[in-house]
Amino acid sequence: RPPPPSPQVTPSGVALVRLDGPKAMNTISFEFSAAAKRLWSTQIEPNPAVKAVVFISAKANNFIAGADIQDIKNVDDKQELLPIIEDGVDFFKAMKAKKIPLVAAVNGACMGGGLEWALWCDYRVCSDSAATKMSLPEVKLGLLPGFGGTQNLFELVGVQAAMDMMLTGKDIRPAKAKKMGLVDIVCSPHALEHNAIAAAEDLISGAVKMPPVPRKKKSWMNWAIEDTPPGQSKMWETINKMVMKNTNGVYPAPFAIIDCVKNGLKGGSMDDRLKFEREKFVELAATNESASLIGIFDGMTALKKHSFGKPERKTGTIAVLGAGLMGAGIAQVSAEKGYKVLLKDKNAAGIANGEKYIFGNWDKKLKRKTMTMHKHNQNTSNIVPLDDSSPSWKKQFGSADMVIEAVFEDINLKHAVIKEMEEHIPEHCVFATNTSAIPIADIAKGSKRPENVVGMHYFSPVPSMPLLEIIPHAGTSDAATAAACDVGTKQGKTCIAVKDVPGFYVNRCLGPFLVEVSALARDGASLELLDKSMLNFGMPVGPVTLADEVGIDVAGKVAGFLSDADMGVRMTGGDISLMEEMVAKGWLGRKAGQGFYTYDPKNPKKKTISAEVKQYAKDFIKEDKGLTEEDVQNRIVSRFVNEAVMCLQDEIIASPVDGDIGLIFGTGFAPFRGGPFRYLDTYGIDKYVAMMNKYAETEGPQFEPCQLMKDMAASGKKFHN
Amino acid sequence: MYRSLSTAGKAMGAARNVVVVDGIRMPFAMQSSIYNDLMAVDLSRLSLKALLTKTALDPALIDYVTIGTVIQETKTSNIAREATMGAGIPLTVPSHTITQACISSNIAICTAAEKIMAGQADIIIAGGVETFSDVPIRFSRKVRQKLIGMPKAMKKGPMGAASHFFKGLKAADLAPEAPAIANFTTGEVMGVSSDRLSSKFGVSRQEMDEFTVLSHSNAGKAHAEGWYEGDVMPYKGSTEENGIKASTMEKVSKLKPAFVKPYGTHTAANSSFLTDGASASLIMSEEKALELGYKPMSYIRDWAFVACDPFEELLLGPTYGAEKCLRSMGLNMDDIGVFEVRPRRDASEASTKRRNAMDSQAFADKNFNGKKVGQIDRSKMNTKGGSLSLGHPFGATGSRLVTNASRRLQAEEERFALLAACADGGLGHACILERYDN
Repeated sequence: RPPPPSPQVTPSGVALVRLDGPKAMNTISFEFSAAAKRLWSTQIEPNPAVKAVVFISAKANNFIAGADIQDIKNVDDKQELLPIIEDGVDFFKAMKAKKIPLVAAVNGACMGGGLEWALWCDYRVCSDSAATKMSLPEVKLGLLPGFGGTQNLFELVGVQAAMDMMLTGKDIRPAKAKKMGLVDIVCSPHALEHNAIAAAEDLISGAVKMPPVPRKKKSWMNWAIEDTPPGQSKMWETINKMVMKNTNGVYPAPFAIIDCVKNGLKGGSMDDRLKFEREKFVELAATNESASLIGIFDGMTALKKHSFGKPERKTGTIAVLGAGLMGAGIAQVSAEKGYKVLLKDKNAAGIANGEKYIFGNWDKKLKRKTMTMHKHNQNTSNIVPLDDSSPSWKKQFGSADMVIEAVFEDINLKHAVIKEMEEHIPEHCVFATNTSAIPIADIAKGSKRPENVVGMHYFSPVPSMPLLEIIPHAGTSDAATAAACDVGTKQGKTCIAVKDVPGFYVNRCLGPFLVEVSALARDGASLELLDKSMLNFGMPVGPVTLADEVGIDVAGKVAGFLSDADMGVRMTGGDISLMEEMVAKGWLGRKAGQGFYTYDPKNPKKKTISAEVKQYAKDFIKEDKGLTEEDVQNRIVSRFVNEAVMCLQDEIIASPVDGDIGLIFGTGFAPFRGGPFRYLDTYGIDKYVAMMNKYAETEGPQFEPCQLMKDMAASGKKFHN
Repeated sequence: MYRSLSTAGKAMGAARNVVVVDGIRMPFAMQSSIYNDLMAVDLSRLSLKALLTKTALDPALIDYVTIGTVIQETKTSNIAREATMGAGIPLTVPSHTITQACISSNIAICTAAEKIMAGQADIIIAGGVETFSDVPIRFSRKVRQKLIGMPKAMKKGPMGAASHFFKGLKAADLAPEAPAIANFTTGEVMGVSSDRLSSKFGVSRQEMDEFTVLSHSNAGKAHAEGWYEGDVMPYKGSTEENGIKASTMEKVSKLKPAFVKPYGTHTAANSSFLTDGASASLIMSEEKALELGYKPMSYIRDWAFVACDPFEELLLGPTYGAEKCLRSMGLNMDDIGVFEVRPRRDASEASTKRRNAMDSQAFADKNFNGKKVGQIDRSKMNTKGGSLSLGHPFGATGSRLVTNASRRLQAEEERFALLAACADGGLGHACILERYDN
């Protein structure tokens, strides 16, 4: 290999190392670190003229976006990662050993290994560009910062701030970074290089002191919490509580990060601390949890691209029909991303309700300072409120590129709406329907241009649910599907394409799940046991809570609708009168203040099960089978998972990746298990088939595993390779 | 009798025709009611957005935005610019704020017309805004001086700063200072000036009170009949204007004078209340409006801004202005079918007095070579309510008058409308609109 080009050195002795990896984003791959090492040992180390080094990116909008996940994924025996990480850490130690000032000049993404690199430096300058963000997001992939991050960060910003960054993986923006001491100077992107060189020169001359000078004075409050034994014990208690609350304790990475920092605080030698850190890293890399989370990450990246080609034209204006919870949510996520939104409802009161919901959500962001006033105003201005009496609505709709309807679920109403709209919308305008119960093909029958009709099935509440099902019917053009995918992706949703069948994918899987919940209640499982079992499995909420949250009436309707659909024996075994009777009693869930739980109107977090509901559940029991937590988990999850595999078998979804992402993002299916397909792979498909067969014998044919699952079990193959 | 249309307007002869395409207002509301939490800039932004919603105008086509306002929030000195940017209008559209007391949005609209006539623009949004729910209440001058000198004093340490601050400071200096309601030059409150003029032209309390009741009843009726639908844009789903009260002579006549006691004529009822509101008008060159497929409501034909002696004739500006416009267009009072007259706080009195002045021979002899401006036909004046009932957000009323007069020209099939309004400092404005035949 030719030696790397020599870096530019200023007359004052500042070497400018421009990081320039092969891809648009700099990532620390094995190759990248090898090149860095070569550069250091041939050009910097032996060069006496170099008195300081500035690391700056040659890319327009990133410093280093992190370590290359593919490299880590491709190492089968994770133990092999140990020497590789050690090698990387040795490189950073070699940098430090030259004892010259090191300055990181950050513009754009500086994440994971990139930030760890900057942390090894003596001084950090960052740009105030909107693209500049710093984070240690390893925890989101079930890992930890393995290049010294767990040791270097807390010394710079204090333990509390460091734990917050490492346990949540959140982005730190320039102003915050300066305030917390993560960077020393914030400046315009154009002045970045100049400032970094000036800082390096001052570090050479001694005008600015080299570390360990603390650059930011700790407040006495933080001193009391972080540096006194009682403060520390309280602090760790709080941190543990937060981790348990956010993860239910099922993810190992946060605890490993805590261990690393605690170990670092004991004050052993840096070498020992770094060794401890990388051993923990390797342990985490070998866990199923990490593999699952990386699988989700890869899946999301893959789903950003779709196979429907390019839409015929760019969507600029989206009309949303219906300003209810769904319509308003769709309008919100569209307006936030710069679409002009024609939000239309029957009357001004309906629009006002929708606007209240949207503006309320934005006001919260404004208060939390996650949105600027100007962005708030721009978003607000992107929403054009229209009702039947607005003189201009027809003219406005003449410029719509896409209509998304979220009106009441009634085929005749939907046909009427399409007909009315088609008098005003341009020919190219895509007509998307947010139905969850009516076949898209049936809705398209009401259209002059059925090729423009496509399903876009959002999940409620739209702003926080990350999934979108895109449902082309048989006659939908690829251009319309592509437009729907593009809009959905830009709205910040992960889109999966699903065949036009009852329930599409997510609700179809939820059908047997809901039936089984009623079956379990009938077989003696208490409401508490149902919730607790599924929480312990790793679902974000138990099934009883879930039913309350979506509304007992809605859940009952989905179950009823799917029972009448094409799913045959798979919707049997339970008794959904459990929910139907509740609807009759007006126990509609959280929205009514009373579902399975009774909600305290003053404190939305407080919920109890009333004696009346307990009795109701008790009366529902036909035979108490003495069910265990494992029974509950197996019976609910297997119905759910089997249906997902059935969907793959019937080509309702395109791949196991779509299937995993769909249920994780659509239902919260335990992310650390990686979705139904990865869960099966981990569990062992043959073992799972055997388990289901056992239940089929005792409980009935609804537990019979589908053909594809049996085939996979027989062949010994896995869904994910 | 009027001059042929081709030469109507200013001396520019072949000047381009300027049309009023559309106009809206956010519901005018009493101080500290529905807009209690908004800044004026928010109100203005909402009005711009509402106008765009109503007209479906592509914001990228706008050439210029100008907004009138009176009480200034120092954070948004150029409130027009901030409102423009906040309303989703491209950041490349320039905008300026203009102030001329209560005729601020009149001057905004006429400035727009001038720009269009001069060929500098084709599409301009001109509007106005005012809030009384938030006004700049300041420290006294003394305290301000101390605070400005503080950085220098701080160099002597905290004790030096403290001694700098408290030296010579009286308790009274700590009292906050609200924006003055009296004129800066004359030191007179408008209610008092108006009271003086009502004596001069012999307008009785009875007459004023009758006008008050009529104004509220006109406004209430106009709302009930849906006249303001699409003109008043909803705020949080409602277009109610909460200053309109159904009242009777009996109740109104019981009130005590508010300004000149004990026998003054102006009361809380027959003076307009402090109002929050914003309005916006879409002004275009005729050819651009037609090119974009709009159906304009009216031409802006002629206008005048005049000033008179604020010590003596504070509220008479409109009379001078009206005379000037009528004369310039060769029109008589009889040619006018729609009157929208907007006096200030003391609406009923001033309009009555102004009507009297317009019809006063002595006044005409003195000022207009004996030609009376003429009697305003009261049945054609402010028939949809006026500032007294709808409210009078200083900066925003002018645009409301233009919109309402234009709409009345269309609905009542009249040819000409005369707008007249006065402003603090002895200023006056009159404007003549002509119906646009679509």
